[in-house]
Amino acid sequence: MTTLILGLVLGGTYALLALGLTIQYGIARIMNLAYGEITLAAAFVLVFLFQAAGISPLAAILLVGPLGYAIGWALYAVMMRPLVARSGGGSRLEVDSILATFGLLFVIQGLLLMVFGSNFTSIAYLDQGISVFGVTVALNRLLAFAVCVIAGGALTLAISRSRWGLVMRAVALTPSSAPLVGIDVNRVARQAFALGSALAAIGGTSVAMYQTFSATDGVVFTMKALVIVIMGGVGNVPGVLVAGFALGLVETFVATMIDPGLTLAATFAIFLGVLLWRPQGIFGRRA
Amino acid sequence: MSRIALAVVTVVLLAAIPGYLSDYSLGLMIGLVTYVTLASAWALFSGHTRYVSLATVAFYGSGAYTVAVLNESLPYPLVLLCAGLIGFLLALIVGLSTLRLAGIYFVIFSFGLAELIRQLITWYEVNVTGTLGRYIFLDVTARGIYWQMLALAVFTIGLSAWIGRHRLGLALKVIGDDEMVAAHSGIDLSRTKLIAFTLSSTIITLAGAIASPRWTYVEPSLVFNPTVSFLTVIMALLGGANRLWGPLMGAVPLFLLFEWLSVSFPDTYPVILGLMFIAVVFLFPQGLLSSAEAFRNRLKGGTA
Amino acid sequence: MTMLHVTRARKSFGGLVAVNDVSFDVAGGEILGLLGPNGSGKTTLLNLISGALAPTAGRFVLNGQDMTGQRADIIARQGIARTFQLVRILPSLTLLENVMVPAAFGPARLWGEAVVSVAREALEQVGLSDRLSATAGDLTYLDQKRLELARALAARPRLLLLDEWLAGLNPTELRDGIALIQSLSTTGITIIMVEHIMEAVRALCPRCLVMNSGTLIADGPTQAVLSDRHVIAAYLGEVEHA
Repeated sequence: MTTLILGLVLGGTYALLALGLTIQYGIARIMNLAYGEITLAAAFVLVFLFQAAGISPLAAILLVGPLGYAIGWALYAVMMRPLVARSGGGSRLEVDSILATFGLLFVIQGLLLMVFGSNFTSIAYLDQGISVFGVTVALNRLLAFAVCVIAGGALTLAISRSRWGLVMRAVALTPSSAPLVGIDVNRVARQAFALGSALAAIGGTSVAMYQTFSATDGVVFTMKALVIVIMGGVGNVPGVLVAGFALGLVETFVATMIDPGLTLAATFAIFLGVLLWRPQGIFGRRA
Repeated sequence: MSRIALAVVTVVLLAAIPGYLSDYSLGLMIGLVTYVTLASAWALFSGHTRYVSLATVAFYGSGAYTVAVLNESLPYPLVLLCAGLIGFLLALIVGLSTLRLAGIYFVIFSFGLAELIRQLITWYEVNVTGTLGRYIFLDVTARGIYWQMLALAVFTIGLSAWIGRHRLGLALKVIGDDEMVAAHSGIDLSRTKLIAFTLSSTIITLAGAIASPRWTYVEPSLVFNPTVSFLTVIMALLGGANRLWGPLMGAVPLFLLFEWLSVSFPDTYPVILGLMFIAVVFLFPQGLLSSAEAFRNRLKGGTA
Repeated sequence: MTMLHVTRARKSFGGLVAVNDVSFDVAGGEILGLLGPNGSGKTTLLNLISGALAPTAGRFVLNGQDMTGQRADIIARQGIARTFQLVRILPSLTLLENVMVPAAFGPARLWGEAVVSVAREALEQVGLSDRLSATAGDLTYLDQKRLELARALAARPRLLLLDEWLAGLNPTELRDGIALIQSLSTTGITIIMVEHIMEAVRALCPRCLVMNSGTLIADGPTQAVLSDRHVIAAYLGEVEHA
């Protein structure tokens, strides 16, 4: 039962992170390998605000979320847009974006190491336990979970119900014909990339609330988000949410029953399974 | 013919220089030749197919760690053989599970691979053997390492040249351009990619094994340093990953530059690296050799 | 003698049936037209024959060999070559390299002198032999089409699939194109061509198949098929002004 609840909490963070990544890849067509670094940067900023300025993490989220959006917006405008223009809609964009964000990964990681050092970091915030279904869970985890559910839920609703969401989905399906109905694909892609970064940042704040992390953990976060996206089926929002929770549960299970050192191995095992049996995603449709 | 003669003379000269070098310079030369090997081996698969492998250090580190584990129980040539075999099997696992799918799956798998292996070895060493960190005691001199690495570099470039003139090379180029056309022309996509990837990865693993005695003390976080993957890719890209001599042309100046940067700016070094990487992707998408060629053609076009 | 034997070929994408239980035979040396309005499943049918798509059901037999559900490269090595509706060349390779590819990896698996001479010959057939070492990406649209045909020919295929190869050509080019295909027919090659240009179909294909929303609605001598009222209804009168 403890495993179940802790797994769901972790899964909430993962689902949110994967949601941001799938928006960036599915709509903006950018495979962002520096995604986990954005998450970590947000986590460090939250810790800094909490420790140095005494700002409550909840208030920090209101600051970090929009900041993530702004940074994503700027990154897209400065870095990704020229690559998109250069590819002319061809397959070159995938390789170019992989390479460019791989470089970006080292830039952000280097900055984090310079500013915050290479030590493991965590904060003591609301770590008193409360009882949920007879299991004692730290309040900070519940709060982190609530943040993810609210952010992820609101976005999922917006994508599936609103007019704005319809535009997003249209670009995700056929970027080439979206302009025919008056959609500015460039603007939508920039919004999507910025939104994905905002989600990465919010996911990062939820990580900071209850996990210990270091400046070199970005690859692991990116990897997990990528595996969730593939598990759920690229561009499939409900699939990604379910897969995120599934990975959180599996990982918590492996960590408590077998060994915490094998969680990435568990992620890879799932990835391998998906690749061998259902590469289109567990919830994806067969082409 | 004169080209081959030139290459032979160069290799002989390179093989003769350790006698004239200080220990420091010899160390530098070893590093340089290592990166020439890594970048050339990387390009052997990724250069033409455009399947970007981010897993160089996964193989390089596996080679080094194999030596660390086996160096006291097996004679050196057998240790190398084992390292090569491990690299081959690892490449086979990665290749068989990802290379029949779209390129993105391969990239993602390779992206996390080094971290996975690092964590698995750490877990194994801590929980099963109880020793994290191993020593390499081999009576291989720095010169010995240099000569072995030089031989591997020559072999790698020679192999790339050979592949470039044979069916495999043509098939890899076609796959890089259009997989659909490749399949409809009779090219077995998975097999072709798998052969090139395992060749490339086995060479990279051997490079790690040969370089490992330089460390003396080895632990997973040391040998699975992501910077190795990063440097390999930027070097190959700068020179031109789809050219025979491209990776070498990129590796030589960048290696020297990075050595200087890492000594002069130890703190900001990773940031500078990242920015340079992005700059290469933006400014020389086809590599320096192609850019130089285009420039020369333009000059010729201008005068004609 | 039957070259290709297609039995109840079917392909569905989710709920949409793109090819609905289509059966037909093609004799060796025949030039067969495959007609139908846009979206009627012609290209999907070619994709099934060439192995670009795996059929949902049905059987494909080439020269007595069952190829149902085989990979595209295996089918290509059995002697089926094709062009694509949206022309697909290998842009970073030279013309010669482009055409060498199927000669090297197709049914004959040639290399060395042989592969170069086959490639040259194929380029000569389409009139591109003066630019062997040009880069394919620099060619004009028409020349890209020629190159694509040369590439298919260099496979020395038993069955050639042309997907609207004549589309987008101007009247002079069209006349050249028709003459080119006509000259191929004298070599005994078997061709299935998807084509909208009726002038070409009449000139080249003694026999036609017509598809409409996935189903085969006519199969017979071109003249008879084109005056069939189902066919005319399917095209809604589009037939004559093409």
